[in-house]
Amino acid sequence: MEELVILGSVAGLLAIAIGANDETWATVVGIRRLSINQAVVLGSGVLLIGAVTFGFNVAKTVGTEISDSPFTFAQSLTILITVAVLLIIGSWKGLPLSTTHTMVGATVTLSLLLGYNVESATIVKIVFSWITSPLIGFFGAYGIMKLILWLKKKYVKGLDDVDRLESWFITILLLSVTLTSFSRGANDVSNAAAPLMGVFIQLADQSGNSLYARIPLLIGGVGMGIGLIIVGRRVLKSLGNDIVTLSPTSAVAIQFSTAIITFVAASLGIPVSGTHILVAAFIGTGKAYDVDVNMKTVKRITISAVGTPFVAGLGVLLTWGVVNLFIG
Amino acid sequence: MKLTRKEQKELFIELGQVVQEAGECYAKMLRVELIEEMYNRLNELESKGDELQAKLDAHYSTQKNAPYLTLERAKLLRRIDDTLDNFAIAARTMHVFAGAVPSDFVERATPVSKLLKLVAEYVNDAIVNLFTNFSQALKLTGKIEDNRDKIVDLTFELETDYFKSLNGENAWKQFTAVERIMKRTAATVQRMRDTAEIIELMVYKFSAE
Repeated sequence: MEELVILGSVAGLLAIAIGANDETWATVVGIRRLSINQAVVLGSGVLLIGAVTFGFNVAKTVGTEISDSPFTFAQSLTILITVAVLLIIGSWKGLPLSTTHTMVGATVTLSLLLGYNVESATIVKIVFSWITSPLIGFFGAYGIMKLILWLKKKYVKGLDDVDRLESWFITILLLSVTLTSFSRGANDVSNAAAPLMGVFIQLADQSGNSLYARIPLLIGGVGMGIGLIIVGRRVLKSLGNDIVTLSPTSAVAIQFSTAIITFVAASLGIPVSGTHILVAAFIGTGKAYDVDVNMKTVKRITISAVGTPFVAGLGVLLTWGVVNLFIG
Repeated sequence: MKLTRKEQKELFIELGQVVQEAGECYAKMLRVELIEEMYNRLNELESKGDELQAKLDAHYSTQKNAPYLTLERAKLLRRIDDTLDNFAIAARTMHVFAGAVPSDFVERATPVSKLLKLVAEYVNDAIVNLFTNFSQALKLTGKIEDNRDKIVDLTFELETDYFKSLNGENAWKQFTAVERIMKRTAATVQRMRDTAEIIELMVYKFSAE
């Protein structure tokens, strides 16, 4: 019981850190459709709902389908600490580290180290989605933006038309952001809840009460909500002010493709990086405008995306050594 | 005070009409017609412009407005206000110096007066078309620029000719009057061109996206 409390607390803290970095609502704050208070309250509610509903699929995949053996307290703690530390280092260094890549990399490495049987089909499915989801994000956003530009050229004759179009798109944006937030709640909760899933699914099976399996998701969802309300508001404020030149139509192109991809992935129980999909969508939208993309940044993000699981693997080896020293 | 899109548009169109009327009044002053009456009317128009601007400013200063959609409108508002302020200053200049101009000033200033009135009309039309017809708005801003150049050339020509030709006891007084009036006129036309430039940039921004 004591071990569960410790694990739950660490998972909760990690969830707060994840929520604190959630930039999903920045576009609606930037165009002043919602105030920061409205955005963080609505966002935390949607994150929680996404986490406890669709979040089950992703968390189950990461927590129980990568290896065939459930993790012990020490092993689960190792993974959580590794992800938390790397997230902190990444944020401090300004690196766009994917929490999902970190969690999966740490989980796979520890499983291999312990000699557990790693489900290669699951790994292949996950890695395949990491490659395809940003690509779909890029092409999806590019296609949507091209369609929007065509619509504008055909139908926008004056400011009256601009205003009408923008007010429609503000509504579409709000819906897209809500869907993205729901899907990210479902996707990101696994980064905090996955190490706990095995234990609580077992509890649910033994007690015959399936709600037990949702407890890690509740901890994660509430943690992300708290993180968003208390700390995430600063991210929204700074990003929202920086997005002053982002039009509602551009924001829709970026957000809509991100929303669809993260929702489909969450429905299928596949853990994807919401950040990488969003970045790819930004680039796709820029390309639709024929704007030059900073390839240095793209290279940096690609190297980070590819390297993160390996860095996480290294990190989990170090952490396991330390945890073993104290817990044995 | 929050305004609907329709209310904002109506205020801008009203401001455009104020600019056009200001142009008509000042054009009459340049022909030394009804100086006192037009001077008073221009001061009233400047106050009316300030009232309309205050309503729009109160709306734009609230936090609820999407910066993407309001920044350019706020800039346009300021350029229109500058234009009306310059008309008022030009009217004060004319009011002081009209009595000292040379006898052939009215005849020589009439082409400037006609072009200035036309430019003010174009500014009003450009503001209206900004809301409904971007391409027409662009054509009008092009005409504003062309006529601005013509007015600047004409005012310079007038000043130069008077500088060379005026002689006698009151020559310096007459020349000073002409120079002050022409410089103020050119500055006012330039403010109208600045307004047109903002309209151009808005068309490029919102139609290119």
